Amino acid sequence: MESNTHSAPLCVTVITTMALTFVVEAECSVTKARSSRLTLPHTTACTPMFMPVGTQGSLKGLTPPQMVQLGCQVVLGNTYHLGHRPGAETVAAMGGLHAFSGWHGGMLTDSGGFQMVSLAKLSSVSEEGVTFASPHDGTTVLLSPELSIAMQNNIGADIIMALDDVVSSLISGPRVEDAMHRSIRWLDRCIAAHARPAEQNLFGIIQGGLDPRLRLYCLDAMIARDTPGFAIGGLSGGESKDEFWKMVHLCTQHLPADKPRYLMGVGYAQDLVVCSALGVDMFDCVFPTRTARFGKALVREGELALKHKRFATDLSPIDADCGCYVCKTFTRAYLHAVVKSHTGAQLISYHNIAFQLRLMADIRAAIEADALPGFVTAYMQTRFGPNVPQWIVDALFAVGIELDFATATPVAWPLPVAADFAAVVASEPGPPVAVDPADDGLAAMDL
Amino acid sequence: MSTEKAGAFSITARSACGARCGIVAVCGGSGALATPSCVVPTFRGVVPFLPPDVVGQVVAPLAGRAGTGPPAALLVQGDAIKVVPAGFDQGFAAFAALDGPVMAVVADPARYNMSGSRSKSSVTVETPAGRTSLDIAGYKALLAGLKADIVELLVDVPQPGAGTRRCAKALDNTTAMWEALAAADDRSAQGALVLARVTGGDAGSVVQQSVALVRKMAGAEVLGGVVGGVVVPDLRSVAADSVTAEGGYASGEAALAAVAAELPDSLLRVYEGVEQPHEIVAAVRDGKGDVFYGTYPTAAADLGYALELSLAHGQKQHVNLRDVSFAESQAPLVAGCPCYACEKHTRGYIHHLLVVHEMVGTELLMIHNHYVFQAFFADIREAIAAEAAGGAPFADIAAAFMAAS
Ligand SMILES: [Zn+2]
Ligand SMILES: [Zn+2]
Repeated sequence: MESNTHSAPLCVTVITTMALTFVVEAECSVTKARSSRLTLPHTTACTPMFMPVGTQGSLKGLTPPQMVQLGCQVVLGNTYHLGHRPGAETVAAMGGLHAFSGWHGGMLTDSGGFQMVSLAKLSSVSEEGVTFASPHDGTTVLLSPELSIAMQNNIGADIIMALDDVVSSLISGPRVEDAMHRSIRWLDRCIAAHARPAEQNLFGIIQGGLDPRLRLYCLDAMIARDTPGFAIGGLSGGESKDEFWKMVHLCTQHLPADKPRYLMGVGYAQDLVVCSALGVDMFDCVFPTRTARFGKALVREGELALKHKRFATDLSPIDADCGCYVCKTFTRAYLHAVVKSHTGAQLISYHNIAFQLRLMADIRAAIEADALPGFVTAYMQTRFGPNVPQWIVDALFAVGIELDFATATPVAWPLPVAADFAAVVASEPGPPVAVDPADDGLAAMDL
Repeated sequence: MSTEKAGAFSITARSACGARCGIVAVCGGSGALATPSCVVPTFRGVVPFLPPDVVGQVVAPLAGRAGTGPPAALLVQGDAIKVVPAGFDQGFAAFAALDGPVMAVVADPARYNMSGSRSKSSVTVETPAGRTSLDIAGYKALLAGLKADIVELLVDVPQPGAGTRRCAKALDNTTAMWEALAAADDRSAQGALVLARVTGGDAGSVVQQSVALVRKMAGAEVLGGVVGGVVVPDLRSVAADSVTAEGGYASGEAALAAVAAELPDSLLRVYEGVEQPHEIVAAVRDGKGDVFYGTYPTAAADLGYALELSLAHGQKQHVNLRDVSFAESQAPLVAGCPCYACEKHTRGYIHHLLVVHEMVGTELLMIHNHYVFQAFFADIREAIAAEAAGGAPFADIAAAFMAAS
């Protein structure tokens, strides 16, 4: 994972805790984007990065050697699923999730709270924790901050997340404020319960819904807790993209520059580009592997629905510029022929992860070359043509990029492969992601 | 490495009991198919759960052993016809990124109802993707597009339980199609070894006539390829009563023995329906089969079993990884196994993945089971060759295998 060539850092800030080093190596002179090096116990990752989701201890259909080949840096595991099966104690008895799964790169686990609220039929929140009826056996379980951290300590990921009080971003009123304050109190309990701070980094999660006042309060309170990194939570829950980007922008404006910023549950390519420009460092999403299982391959213009019979005679690769194993080996016609098999899902997942990781490598390269505005302009032109969603235009304008295709200097896309980018990326299933199908920027584009 | 021209089968070693090693020279970059061997059934070229890059990983521990390489892929012709685009002229192996030899047969061996015919010029075949029709023109176009290393002649196979009249009709249809193919001025099967199938269903007398037809076709040039092999169906399922009623064989076993005795020794024998390790060892020992369908490792993985099998130590009771007693096992699937799954993963992890229905769980079992099966055949080939070079009799090794299993 060590990169060999980098331009001299424009700006260097270093924060070191017991289990994490974060070095900002380059900053965009226009936007808030930065390219950084995040050293964790099991890997040194380059950010902005996309983290594939390995819900139950494996990436869907991909083996650890394939994940290495793809250039996966950090993979997500879901505490809720792993805590149920095989059980956090079992994972610990097997030597932790790294040893158990055979993936020895970076790992991050969520708190389990999100799945609890979204998957469990009945859940109620009290000061003690989240009480829910297990969808597996119906028994009542209380997930407290202490239990979440104990499970995550057992699983052993490089980064663990505080349990937060998750409310839908569609809700407003006192419940949102209560949840934000409770999330702060729970963060304190998580910090107190964290038994392995020298080996695992506990991130706080900024809450506060869509209310800037609450977000700012939460930011101040959590920044004061001085956790090794911060997540922006409570978004991607069905709110409008306009509300979404403004909250991201607000958070990155106030989060400390010397710590990693993780935007949870975001993984559409255009969102990765926009939010990297807004200053986010880490992303995760099940989307690339989930959409692969429906036979959809990610390309710069959107998605290819490989089930469509027009691909039966198409002898080109998914993406001639991709360079991943699948694109070097198979035609769209062959993938069409096997699209409904397990293997079809495996192959398309492989490419989709490769696509996401390649996109992130391109973003990093653009930041390092201080060419991000040109890159973003070229990307949006390829992706949307003249019809860029207004929220993207607005979000980019807010960080100094005025999309103007007429006068833009053409920038080749993708950029030459970044020096730190071994190949491409991985796949992964993960937490349910709320998708607003009506959102123009998110609607899948079937070619 | 054989110097024979592509499509030729040559026997390279024999044991006293009748077992033989051979080589099918193939034209692709895949070298040759060493026998005894198993070809692995695929869906359009893909072994379930094992994309081509993973298949390479499966056989990696066998590198350097004679005759081992990427396993031969078994393909259903009627299925493949739908997927190779007209404009693609490099053959199916290139289309599906297969490294090993490709063997294409008319019907899906996984389906009982294999093929039927309405005429002397076309057959209806069941494929993994449904029923399709193949006529002579379509068949020729298919072979030209596939460029497979081993291909089966278009054939009419009666359904199980079909009466003698239907069986005789099937043989008539088959005869007509083979004559038409042999007479065709066409080189669609250039460079391939061509297989003729013993047919006749449950009717023993028709089976006998079918064997006579295969003998007649042996060595004939058809569509530019040479008939160098025979497909022997699983005649054991032929009920003895129906067979004897036709004045044929006394039992299914007797039918198999008689057919084996009557078929020319020089033909590559593709032995259908013999899939269990002890059956394979017996068929190899008696010289009845050179090529088998590798369905057993896939079926075992599908049920959660890890194979523990070797020629030297026999077939052990397979462990089922769904068993909850493996939940915290740090042991490999099989101690000492050099495959990727055993080298890098534990029973506990694979158990977990099976329980939560993660694809990688079955994939790891497939990697192990197919490695074991390929290694098993490598052992068999080496044992036969070793006897020919003065080593222990293969018959003794086979007997020890049976005793240990
Ligand atoms: Zn690709
Ligand atoms: Zn093994």
